Amino acid sequence: MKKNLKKQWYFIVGLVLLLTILTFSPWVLSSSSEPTLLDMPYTLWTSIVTTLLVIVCTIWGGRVFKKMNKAA
Amino acid sequence: MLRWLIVLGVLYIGVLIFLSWRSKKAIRSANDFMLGGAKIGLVLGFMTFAATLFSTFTLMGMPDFSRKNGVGAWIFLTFSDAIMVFFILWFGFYLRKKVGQNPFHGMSALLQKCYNNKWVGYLYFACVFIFLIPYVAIQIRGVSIFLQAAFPNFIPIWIWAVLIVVIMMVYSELGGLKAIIYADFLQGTLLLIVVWFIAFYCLNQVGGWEALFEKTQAANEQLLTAPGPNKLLTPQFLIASCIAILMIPVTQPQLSTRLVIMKDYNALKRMAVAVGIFATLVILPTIIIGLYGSIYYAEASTAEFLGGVLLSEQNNIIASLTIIGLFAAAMSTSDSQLFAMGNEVRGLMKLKENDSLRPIRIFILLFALSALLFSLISSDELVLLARLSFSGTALMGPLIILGILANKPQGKFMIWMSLFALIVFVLTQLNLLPQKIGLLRMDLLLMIVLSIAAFANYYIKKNEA
Repeated sequence: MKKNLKKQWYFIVGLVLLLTILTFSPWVLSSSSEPTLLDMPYTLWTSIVTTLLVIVCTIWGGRVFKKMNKAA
Repeated sequence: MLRWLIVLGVLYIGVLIFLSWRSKKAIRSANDFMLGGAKIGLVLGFMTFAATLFSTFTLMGMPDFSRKNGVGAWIFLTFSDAIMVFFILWFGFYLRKKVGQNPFHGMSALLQKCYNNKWVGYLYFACVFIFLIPYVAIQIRGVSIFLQAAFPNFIPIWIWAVLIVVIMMVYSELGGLKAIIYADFLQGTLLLIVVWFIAFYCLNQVGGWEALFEKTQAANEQLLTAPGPNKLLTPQFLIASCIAILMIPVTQPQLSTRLVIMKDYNALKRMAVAVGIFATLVILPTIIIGLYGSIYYAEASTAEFLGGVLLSEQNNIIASLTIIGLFAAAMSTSDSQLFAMGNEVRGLMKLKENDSLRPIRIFILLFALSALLFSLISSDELVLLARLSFSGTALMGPLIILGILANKPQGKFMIWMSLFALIVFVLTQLNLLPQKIGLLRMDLLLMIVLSIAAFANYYIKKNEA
């Protein structure tokens, strides 16, 4: 149980790191405003998506981290 | 507008007086005064954290920053804030564990205990003293500029600044931290309402969501891309900013105090999520206002743009609410910082529960006066000054994290390294050392070196055991 929670926690941390690398790379920091989504330029909508995903990771991570430390 | 400002202002001050009276009734000890009774639930905890984090620079600085640098401003602040709230899950847990059941007498005293060294407390204190002054100063300056734009030729800017500091001091003196937390609640709500009202107004004026981006593109296409027209928002600048913002709850005492006084870990993790959501809700409208500014105020000065979009173009009620909202934002953020600094002094002086708080009050006054002086000579680049404050205090991050995670004192190496980094950073800001070494920004290089040093220190000490 504890091992599984630890794995989950490291997975979430890895995911947040990946999103961070993605956000600071040319995949998000683009010199073009195309393609747009809901009329938003590329850099804006992709960074909104990565921000929201990090918040989802925070919700998930909060649950896992609490359980993990309770089990310890 | 004056009539509405008086009506709403009296209402706001009335609520503040009521809240401070209510808080004062509950104060029975120095701990109640300095730490608000130390049991804060989700709603109050979230609002006070958010209101302390999002200040004048959010409502005034961010629209101006995105007007000049474009949509990348979202990454600069919102993405970095999202990473910060994720980090709170981990750091908040270990910080609370380290503090345990003891009363929290500030980060300086905690570090002295962790490192079993009194100088580490003074080093941390010196760093936050130096770099929180610009942050408090921008609150005072931002509101003073704004009030002068609202009432030109009424009184000089320095009298506005003095008035703000006097009201700030009186309020915090009356009700302690709990009163400040209630004021934060009021400010957070007001900030969110006002900023969305103005954003909707901007969207309406420009012809809607689609037209906003079309007209921005026509004005300057680079505003819709990174690194923006001024080439400021490069990956390196954004990464260094993200690290500095990530370290805010670790290094800035007004926020680390709030992590400690949360009721339990459950409330803390929910608060972190709520702050993340609040960040997206409060920053998105500032980007809209900024892009609107890039269309209609492309060549205007900061004061002209803010005076125009936040005051002249708004109806009397919204303009009055904006003035009060800005004033409230400046007051709650500055009060929180003044108070946290007071708590640091209390810890360093090892004052007991029943000791007089007079030395702390004198220190708070001195700190406020220093910020007032700085506000009178500082520039109008509010966001960049805030970033300077974040980057400066962030230098203490690796030292603090190492102290909190380690189970035993970690020696003097990291204390010397942090002192060295602080001196280098100050010299860089004074242009006595270069801003870059090779291709790397100095602030980023210092953070990398400190982080590696902290890791090495931890493993060497672990193996010694």
